[in-house]
Amino acid sequence: MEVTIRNAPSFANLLVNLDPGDRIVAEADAMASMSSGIEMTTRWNGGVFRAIARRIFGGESIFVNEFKSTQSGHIVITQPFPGDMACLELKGNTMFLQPGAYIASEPQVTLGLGWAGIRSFISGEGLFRMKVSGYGRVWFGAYGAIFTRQVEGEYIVDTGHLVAYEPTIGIRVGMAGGIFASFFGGEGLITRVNGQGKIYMQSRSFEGLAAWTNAHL
Amino acid sequence: MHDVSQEFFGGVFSDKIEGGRAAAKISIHPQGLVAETLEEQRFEIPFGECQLDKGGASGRMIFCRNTDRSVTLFCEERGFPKALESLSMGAFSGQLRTIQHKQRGHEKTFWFWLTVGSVITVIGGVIGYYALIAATQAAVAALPISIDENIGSVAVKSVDLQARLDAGHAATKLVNDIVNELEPHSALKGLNFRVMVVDEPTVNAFALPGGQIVVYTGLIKKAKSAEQLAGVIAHEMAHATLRHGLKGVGQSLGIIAAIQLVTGDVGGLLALSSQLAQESILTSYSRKSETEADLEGARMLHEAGIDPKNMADFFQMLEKLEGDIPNLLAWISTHPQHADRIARIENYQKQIPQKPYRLLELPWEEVQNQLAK
Amino acid sequence: MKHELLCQPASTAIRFSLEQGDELTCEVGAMIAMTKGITVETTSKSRGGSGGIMKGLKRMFSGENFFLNHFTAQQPNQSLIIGPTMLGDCTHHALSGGAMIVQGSSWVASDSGIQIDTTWQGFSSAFFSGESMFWVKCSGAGNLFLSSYGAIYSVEVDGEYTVDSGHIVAFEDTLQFRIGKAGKSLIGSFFGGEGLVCKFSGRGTLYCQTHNPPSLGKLLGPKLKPR
Repeated sequence: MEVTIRNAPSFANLLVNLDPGDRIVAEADAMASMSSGIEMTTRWNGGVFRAIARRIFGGESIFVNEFKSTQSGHIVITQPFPGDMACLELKGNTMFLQPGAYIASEPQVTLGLGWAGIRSFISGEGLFRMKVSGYGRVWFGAYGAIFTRQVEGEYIVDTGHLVAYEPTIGIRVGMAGGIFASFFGGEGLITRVNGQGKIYMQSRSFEGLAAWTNAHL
Repeated sequence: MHDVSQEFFGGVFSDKIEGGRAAAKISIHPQGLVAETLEEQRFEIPFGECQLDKGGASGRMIFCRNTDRSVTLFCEERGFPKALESLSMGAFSGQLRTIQHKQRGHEKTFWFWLTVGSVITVIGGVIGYYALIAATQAAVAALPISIDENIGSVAVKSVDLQARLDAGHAATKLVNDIVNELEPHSALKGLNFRVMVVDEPTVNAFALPGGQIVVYTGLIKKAKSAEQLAGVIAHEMAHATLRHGLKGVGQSLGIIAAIQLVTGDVGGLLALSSQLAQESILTSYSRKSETEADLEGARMLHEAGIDPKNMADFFQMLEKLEGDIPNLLAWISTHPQHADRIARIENYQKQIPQKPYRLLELPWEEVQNQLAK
Repeated sequence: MKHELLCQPASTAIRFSLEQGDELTCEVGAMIAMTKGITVETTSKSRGGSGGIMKGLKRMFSGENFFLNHFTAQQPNQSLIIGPTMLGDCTHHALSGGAMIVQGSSWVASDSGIQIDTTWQGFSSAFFSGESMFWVKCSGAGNLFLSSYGAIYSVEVDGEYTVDSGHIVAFEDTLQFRIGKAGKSLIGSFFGGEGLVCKFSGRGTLYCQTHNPPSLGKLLGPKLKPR
């Protein structure tokens, strides 16, 4: 199975070339187009109740789709917003993904749910975060471009810009200044990351877009 | 010889053509179909080798394929099927009939599934509606009060505070005293009631989640007595103790989530219906919450020894005034169907045991004088 | 007339080099810049269709006009730059006698050899595809320019191909378009988020876009305050 990230960093999408028998798992509604001969089955994302909880509080879809090809073919997989995509190769390790970041993964990768904390919920990030572990490739995306940093100690990231991070990093949401611009807008909130490991950030935030749009309505 | 009426405009697919496809003149000869492209390439399919199919974007395009599928002619013109029928001397009648049949079959299947799908969606929607309301109520009841306070403190910042009266003002003290009379009878212990009076002619008062109460001087001036004012304040406090604000937020979040939860992201039709559902659920919900606040407020007044009829009297007065001075009556406009509410409070009073009511010993006249300045 | 695609794939614009007498028709609002030897004339075509069960649905029967700008070079060596509204890509397709069915918002420009038919009704099954109901049928021989939200990719269909709703840019008229379910089961299709998809069958060229505007709107919408 050959997967290429095309049109990065502005409208990144995955071109997945499948041989007969190949399978790929993707988040719901990620498929843009696909050849005939590819079957799509839908399943719960990590168990029924967690899936529902994740939907209400985490913004992740409850369902994931598994695509299996009976003949050779291709699928074009995309994300709902314009931006970049990156690929992670898991070798038995775990990564945390912010809600909405997960796009697709190889079937051997385990998709799980982690608790992100109440403050994360109030900041609009969701109560849960996605945990990917096992062996295989994971593709995730961002609104904007993706850039990384190796963190040692403490680092501050504006809320809404954190995309993925290793579990050795702890996150705490706090207030930057002290004034909220709107109920759950999360404006003025920052995320303190602490620990040793790699974090992925995105150059644009959805909250930023929403705030700008709200200001112009 | 070519009869002009037998020439049609169409196209041909063949690997021998540069680009795979080209526009062509299709003509029906006695022995078969012939296509000639602009580049003067010529393709022939004898009748015996023709496989017909119908398709194309309009659904009316006729495709003729030869047996090894190396050449396909196609034509969309209206006269083509008829000409094929007549000029092919019966070679195509069977095939033409089959493809007409197939197409109608497809259409029927589509409309069948559409109907089934719509019925299922409607039924599912009705069940989901009730389930959602029940679920949200239960979920909200489980959340700690600190969340109400957080939400309330955020919301109060959006209230225009420039015209705020300070804590020492007679009006603020009056409202504080009223709240203190009612607070012991509140159904939700642990709520920290705080009072803010804003100097504006708006006839309005509201309670935010967590216990922050805002009263406008316009409303204080319109009330005829401290007991009437207590009626309004009891109603607003009831909103806070019944946690309506939180339920409302939970409801709107839940509706969007629930519809997406059940249906996935399917496009415009469902987005529209989720929006409609949201609006109708929220409006009917707030009517319900107004009724609840009325009854709970009446109960608090009764327990505090104040005649709940005062609440009804105030509504009645505002209702009479509504015709004269609409703009000032913000409070009334968000609380519809006053006649029902007055009747409801009076009914409630008939059911509860009688008890002597008292008057609040508060400097009502003085406060009115102060505000008149 | 020569054309050149600039700034691909996110903010693509098209630069044309026109000789005297060359003509180009573009969607209104597409012009970015031009040299002074070009004249512009605006005409309108009515869009949408006729009666049937679709009648009464405001979305389809607004009776709006579809405005076109016709650019003609009056002198030699003129240059015209056009671009679409949305962030995205543009592509060129050469029509040689056949026809292309183009999404209304995806058509950007075509030269004088191409006839533009805005009254093409399409097919009743497209109603639930989530696509806009406005399609433009371009036929004849000449250069056609398409735009997209996202990047454009083309697929040579021979047999069957599936495209998620919102991702179709244009397709040749030899392809048949049917609405179907994405997965094997009806319920699975809905839960999987794909819902109903568009299945193309036949042989021809299909242009798709990698992103679709409603997805962004759906994520952003709940975060916006009510007006």
